[in-house]
Amino acid sequence: MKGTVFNHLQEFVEQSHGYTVWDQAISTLDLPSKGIYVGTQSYDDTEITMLAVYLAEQLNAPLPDLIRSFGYSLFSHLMPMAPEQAKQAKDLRTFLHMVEKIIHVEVLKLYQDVNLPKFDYIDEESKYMTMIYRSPRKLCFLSEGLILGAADHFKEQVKIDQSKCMHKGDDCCHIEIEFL
Amino acid sequence: MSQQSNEQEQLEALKHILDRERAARKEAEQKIEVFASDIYEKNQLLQEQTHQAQERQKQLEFLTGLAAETWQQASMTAILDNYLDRSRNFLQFAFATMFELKPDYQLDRVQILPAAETQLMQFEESELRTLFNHLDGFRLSMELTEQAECKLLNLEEYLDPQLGKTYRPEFQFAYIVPLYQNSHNRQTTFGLACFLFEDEANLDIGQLQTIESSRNTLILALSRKQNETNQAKQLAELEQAHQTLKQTQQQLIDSEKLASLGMLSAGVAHEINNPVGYVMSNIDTMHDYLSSLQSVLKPLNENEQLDDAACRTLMAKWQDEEGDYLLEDSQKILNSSIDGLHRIRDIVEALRSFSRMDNHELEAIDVNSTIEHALKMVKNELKYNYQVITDFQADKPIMGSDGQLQQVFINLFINAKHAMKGGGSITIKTWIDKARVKVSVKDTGTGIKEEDLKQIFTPFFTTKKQGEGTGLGLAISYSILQQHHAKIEINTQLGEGTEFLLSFFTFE
Repeated sequence: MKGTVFNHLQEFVEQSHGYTVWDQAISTLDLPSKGIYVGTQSYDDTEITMLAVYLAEQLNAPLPDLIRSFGYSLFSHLMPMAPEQAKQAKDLRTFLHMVEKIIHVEVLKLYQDVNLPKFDYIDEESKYMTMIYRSPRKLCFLSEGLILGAADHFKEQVKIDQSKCMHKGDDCCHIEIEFL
Repeated sequence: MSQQSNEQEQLEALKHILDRERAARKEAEQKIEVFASDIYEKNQLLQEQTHQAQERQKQLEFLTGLAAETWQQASMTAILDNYLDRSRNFLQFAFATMFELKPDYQLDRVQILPAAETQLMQFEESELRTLFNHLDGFRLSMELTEQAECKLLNLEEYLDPQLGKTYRPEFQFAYIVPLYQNSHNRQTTFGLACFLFEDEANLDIGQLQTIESSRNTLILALSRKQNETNQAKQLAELEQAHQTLKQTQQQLIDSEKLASLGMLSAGVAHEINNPVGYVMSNIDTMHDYLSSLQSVLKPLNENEQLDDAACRTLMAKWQDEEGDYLLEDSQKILNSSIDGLHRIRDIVEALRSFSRMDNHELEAIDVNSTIEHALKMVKNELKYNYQVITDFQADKPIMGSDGQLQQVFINLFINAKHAMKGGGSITIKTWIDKARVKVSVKDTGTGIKEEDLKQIFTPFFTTKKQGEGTGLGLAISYSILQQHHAKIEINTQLGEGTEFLLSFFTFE
């Protein structure tokens, strides 16, 4: 996981729960990075899991909700870095298709060592779309948050649900998006 | 207290966060330094690679340009001049020279082009000639004999030990490119291109390798051009030989004609002698007749007026001398003499036209008259036991040489005679067939065997006994007919005879 995600997680925690929460998390957890994150560096995936689990416990919030909220917040941080073509997408649906076809392609050009999730699309009905998520990190809730952040960006209303989820023993997650 | 403790806690947390931020910044700065140094190295590498690519581009341009131009040059000299000029521009800092290293180790045909970047090197041509005069030609020649490859020479090592003790050359290096070798009596002359460099700084091994690469193209082009020159020379020689052959062939035709003339001369002499004989005998008789007539007619001159008695005496004398018979016979004798003289005139005419050697030009001729002339020449040969039947229907001229065609016909008639040992007949016909004049000469002789037929026109092939025929008659006839664009056909039947059928284009 790239340092920039950790940096934003820090900002997210500090802004919504204060500096001490974040500092306690870093001080308590014996992380290989010691909580020192450089945006362009890659860090072990387990660090984000450890931080999320710890924070959920400390804040007494369900883990999926915490990750989803972070994803929602992360979107506004990532969007300025998106390729021009994606920035000019005419609507949410178009943008979501670009995630796999344009954004991930561009990210790979910059960082050859990233482990990006793989998305497949089922898009046959005007009101619905399914994004099939596959990643060993199982951060499907982060994706949900990012989609919600994107909907907000494009000023669209969506309802999100998962018909299949790796956390429930499925081999992939089906993120069902309903355009309202 | 709790608020203070909370603030303390917050401060601690911020301090920790700040420490971590500093650490992250340092780490980031270190990364930037590594990154910057990495970029610098990559940039250097890129510059180096760009330079190399540009050099390769230049080398490639040199090689392709040289190859394209080399094949277009008209001569070996032009190929070498172009090579020297292009190489000089490519090498920039080298003086481009060319010379031949002779078997006596001397340099010859020295050519010098100053370096392309002339402002950098100001050398007089005489200085270069001095350098070449000091060069150890023996050592260079020995090394090239062993292996004629490109060589980079340190010039100090290649100065003639006899001459080079005090001399210091202006150039330190010479790159020698052997381009051609001429060997004669185991002695070799080397054609060499030589690029002179002032010092090591101007030497570029990549460039020299390129010069070396271009050598094969040069060698190939030079050897091809040499072959072309040789071929042109051979062609000229062949043309000369062909011309000589044509002349020799003409001489052969003429000698064969002389041989026929020799063979026929006895017959022709006889043909002339015969009428000469009887014309002379006629003149003798006429002489006697004239004496008799004079004795009868003399009184007429003495007496201007004859009386009856004189007239009676004259009449008696007329009767005595058979005056009427003398007059009548004189007429016959004169006619016979005129006929004899015509025969002589005709045969002399035939002989004259046949024996002409100088005129082989084709002109419009009447083939019938040519045949008649030829018949006159062989008349004596065919006088006994041979019947000559002629049927001349052709009424258009052909393009031909009367003398040469007579030679052909005489040859055919004599061959016909030889094929009919015990006598027989020769039928000669001419007629028009579309745009052609056809001539048939047919005998009633033995015919020609199939195996002989194949060789009938081969020079020196003969079925006659030794001394009887040259074996050239029909071969030469064939060659004459070819010059006339005439076709020849032979129809033969063993025991029945042979027909030679000639076909000429009519001359309109």
